[in-house]
Amino acid sequence: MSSEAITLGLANQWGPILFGIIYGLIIGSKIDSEEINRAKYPIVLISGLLIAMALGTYPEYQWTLFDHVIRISEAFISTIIGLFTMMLIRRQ
Amino acid sequence: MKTSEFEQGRNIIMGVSLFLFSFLVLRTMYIFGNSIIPGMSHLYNLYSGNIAPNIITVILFDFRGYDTLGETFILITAVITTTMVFGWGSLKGYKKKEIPQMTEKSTVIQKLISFPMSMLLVAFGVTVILGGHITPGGGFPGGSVIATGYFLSVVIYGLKKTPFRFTHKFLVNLSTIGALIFLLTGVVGLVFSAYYHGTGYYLYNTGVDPYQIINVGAFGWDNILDYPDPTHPGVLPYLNIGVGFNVLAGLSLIAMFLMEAKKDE
Repeated sequence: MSSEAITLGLANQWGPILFGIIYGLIIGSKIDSEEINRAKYPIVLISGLLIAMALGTYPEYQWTLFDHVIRISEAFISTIIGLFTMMLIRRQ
Repeated sequence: MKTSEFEQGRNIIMGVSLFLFSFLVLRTMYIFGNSIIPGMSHLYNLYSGNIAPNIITVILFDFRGYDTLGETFILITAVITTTMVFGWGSLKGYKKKEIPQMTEKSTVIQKLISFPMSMLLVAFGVTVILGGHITPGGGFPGGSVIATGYFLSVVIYGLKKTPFRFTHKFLVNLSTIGALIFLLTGVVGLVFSAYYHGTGYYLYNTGVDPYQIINVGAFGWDNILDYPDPTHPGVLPYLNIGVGFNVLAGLSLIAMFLMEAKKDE
């Protein structure tokens, strides 16, 4: 029925991470980060991590911390990482 | 009417091409009955729930892929129309008048929070796009969310000082790339269905395994990179990505032109 030609990519758990970083790099390449200073970086990162935990879907990305199950939305956090990576590259 | 040699040669090539095209169309119509696999649609309806957990995505991109393709190009047409009406001369780089600044109206709190909020909105939009085949959402809502993030920062900081320095060319390229992803994914389906079934179907959902027969993925890598869901959505996520690029760039371009349009009043 099928050829299974394009299973690499979003058809596995590395797809959202990869494409999230690609999206982050593409959009981050156009960010000129004058409006954000170094004091805001950790706040935005921690906020992004909290929202990613709230949006977590896949059971593969879960850990147990103090008897609580924690999940991470890998697309969200990888996009944040891609954005910040490109901003740091542009600041050099 | 006198024609030069160059035009005559061009006319001959045109005539031969038209003849070949007509012959192929006539032949296709003649053998059309042999090209249809009987029962294909019935089986597909039966197993459609196994393609992706989100049945709306299956209907939107698989059953009605042409419809979504048309919607994508409707958006491009809307962007072109907006460009012609409001943004004339912007793409050619004519001398612009002073761009209106809105930073005077923004308060400190707005300036402080809107850029981080825009970044989080971009990330949320990407999440909606990439999870479109298993969760509520998809390319169109995700692209709209990203464009909302861009528009938020444009409204607060103004077009000149916005941190998102999208240019016209970048957005036009992104929109075109999104539409091209959709078109070329359709060609991939055409090639692979022609290879496996003998008949090519444009926008065929390549890679779907509704019968759960094939457990090994492309090049045998599926064991290493295992998919969390029991089914394979095929090319639906890539169509989502293409639509997402197209929508985010198209809506941002419309917003940018409408912001710039004030200067010519």
